[in-house]
Amino acid sequence: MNVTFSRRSFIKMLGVGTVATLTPNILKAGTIPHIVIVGAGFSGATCAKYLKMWGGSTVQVTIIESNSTYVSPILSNLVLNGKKTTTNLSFTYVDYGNKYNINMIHKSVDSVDSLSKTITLDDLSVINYDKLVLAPGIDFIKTNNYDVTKVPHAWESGEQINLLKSQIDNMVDGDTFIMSIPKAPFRCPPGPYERACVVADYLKNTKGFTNSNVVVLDENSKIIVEENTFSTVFNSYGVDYRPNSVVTNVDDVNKIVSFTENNIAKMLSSTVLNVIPNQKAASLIFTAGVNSGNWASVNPLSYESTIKDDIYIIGDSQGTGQPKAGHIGNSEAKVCADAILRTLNGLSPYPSPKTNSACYSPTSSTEASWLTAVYKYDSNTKTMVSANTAVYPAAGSPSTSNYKEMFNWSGNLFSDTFY
Amino acid sequence: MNQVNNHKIIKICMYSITSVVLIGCGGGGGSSSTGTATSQSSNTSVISGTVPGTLIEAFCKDGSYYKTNSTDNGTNNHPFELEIPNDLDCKLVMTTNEDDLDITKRIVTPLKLSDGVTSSTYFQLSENSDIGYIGLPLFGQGIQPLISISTAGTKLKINSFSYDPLDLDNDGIPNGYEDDDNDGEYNKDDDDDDNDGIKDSLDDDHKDDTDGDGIKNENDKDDDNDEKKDEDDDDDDNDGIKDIDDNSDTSTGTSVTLPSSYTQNDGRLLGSQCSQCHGTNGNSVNSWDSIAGEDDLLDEIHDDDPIMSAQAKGYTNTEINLIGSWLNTLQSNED
Repeated sequence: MNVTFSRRSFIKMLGVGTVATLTPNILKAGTIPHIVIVGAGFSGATCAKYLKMWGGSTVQVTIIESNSTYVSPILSNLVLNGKKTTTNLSFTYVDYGNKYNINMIHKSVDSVDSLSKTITLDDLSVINYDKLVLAPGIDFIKTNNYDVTKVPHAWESGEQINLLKSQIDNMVDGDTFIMSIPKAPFRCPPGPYERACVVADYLKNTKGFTNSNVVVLDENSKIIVEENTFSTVFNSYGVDYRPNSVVTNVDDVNKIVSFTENNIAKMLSSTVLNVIPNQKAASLIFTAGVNSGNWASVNPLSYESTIKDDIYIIGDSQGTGQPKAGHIGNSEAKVCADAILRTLNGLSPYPSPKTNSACYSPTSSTEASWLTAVYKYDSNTKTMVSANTAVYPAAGSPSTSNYKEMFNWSGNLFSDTFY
Repeated sequence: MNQVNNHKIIKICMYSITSVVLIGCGGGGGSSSTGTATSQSSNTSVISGTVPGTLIEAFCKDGSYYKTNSTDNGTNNHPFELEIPNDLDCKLVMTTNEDDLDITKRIVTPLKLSDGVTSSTYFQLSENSDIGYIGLPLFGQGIQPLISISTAGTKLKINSFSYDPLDLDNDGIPNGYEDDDNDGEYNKDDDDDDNDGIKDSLDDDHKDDTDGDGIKNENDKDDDNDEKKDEDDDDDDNDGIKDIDDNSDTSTGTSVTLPSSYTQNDGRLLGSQCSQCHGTNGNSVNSWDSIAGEDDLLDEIHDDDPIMSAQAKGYTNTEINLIGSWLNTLQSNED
């Protein structure tokens, strides 16, 4: 497993200009520490950028991200109704090399060795780290083995969302759009409800269907965020919302979803099944041995793993009481970056960090709602808890001006993350 | 800025009413309390006046766009000042009820100006000018008939044009405020102006004029009318994709100086949490405000629209002051 390159190509790969002694575990005086970040979505990308913005030439930062283009799940429901394309939502890290001097490696990670502090990539090359940040996102817990190209979740953007869009566009009047929502916690709490609204509006008002329905099978016992807003919109579109509905099997050939509704077994069939499975941390979290249950357990003051030293986990993969979403992933990344820099300089992390989330949700092709929250550190539970009210503050109702503001929110978020 | 409390310069408040009754105009002699303002450079001037409580927008012939809100001073005559370049023909549109979430409830009034010889929706500034009190309608919905204002006594230059790119059908209403497909959304807010199912940004009929003001992007100084001139704007068409990556634009990005040492800075860490919405280092890339250089954060942060004040409640005053101190050290891209 430990196949190493020649020293010269090894150093070149790390982007370090001169020959330096790269001895794992011992950071010699004057050696520039190497921070490796796996995954360059909202969380990983922000972490890399801020490490360089605040740490500059005192740290060497490498990103390992298998995709050279990242397609944002944020705003991706607007692909379904034709308002955006995945091209509009694609980011390429083009500024990262020049502007921030971050090394980009477009490969995937095979394994992590926390004793020797090395990672092995899929091409068997080995990379040393002083600090490792894992931001690999989520993985799905499917009920059974079915083909996600036939029953797309579209809960990662890019190919999946385009698949779902073409399935929707192939619907004829009278067809039903069936979506299932997993048990919380899952990525982007308002996301599925937003999708149901956007699709219902699209079928009715853009495609002009009069006999098509949207059915929502929600494993949760009620709409988990913006309950008033979404239930009002659901009612106005005639969305068939069914809580306490647990998917038990997916038949991708006959397009049948089996589920229990209040413990009674049922089945539904349709041309479009958008089953969004239950979620857990990406597999790398498990193979690296930093999970506790389904998510990574970390110290919210730094996002350092409570299980392994010098490994940090940010974004959707970790569990600290915060929701899973791109905006808050960006937010966590900054706390993590600063904590790493303080640690490298012999300082303690800031003891009372704040993070925040915000999300604008389109509910049609012209209107959107919003919600927002701020989180603070609770030293008793060692988690992040709400800093203002018990319920997320949210827009009173969807509006066209919120819809416009949505692009200001997303525009600055994209820019702060990827540029 | 001159603080002239008693006022004023020239009594401009004799307006000739040619097209509409001005409801609520409460008499002329406008108590414009700002006097003569000072503009930032020798190339621009300030047009000022008072209004009932209004959003004032200027659409200019080179495609640039400026806007301001009048200041609520507790009276019925709210002063406004809008700085625009000299010698540039611009149109003014005034909106009361501008905060109404329902766009159709906003009351939008384009202005017409007359110097006694020529009457036009365009004016040119050469010096700071006050046009006095403008009694805008406070009732009604949507686009109102033009209100005509006399500019007698000022040096405003009034040019009239037979071909008006900002108002192609010459009805006095700027293109952006037309509603071509009658769907209740003004063209400037509508991303499919002609309702042909093809979004304007992809529609051959519209994509060469992103903000739909009538000036093609290649000639438009502000392609997306976000008040940032294209030469200063990282995202000319406001689609969230930086120009450097965006197929539809080729302008270059900005550069950054990386530090050579790490400095602990609590205000910067807390303040970095503002960047998700206000841009890196408080420099917004769109029409949400930049906060770099902000020197009164504690007031501003609680004073703003619903989502900002909801966020603000999550921070203590100590934290806000820390953030504010850091923001104060930052260079704004709006200077």
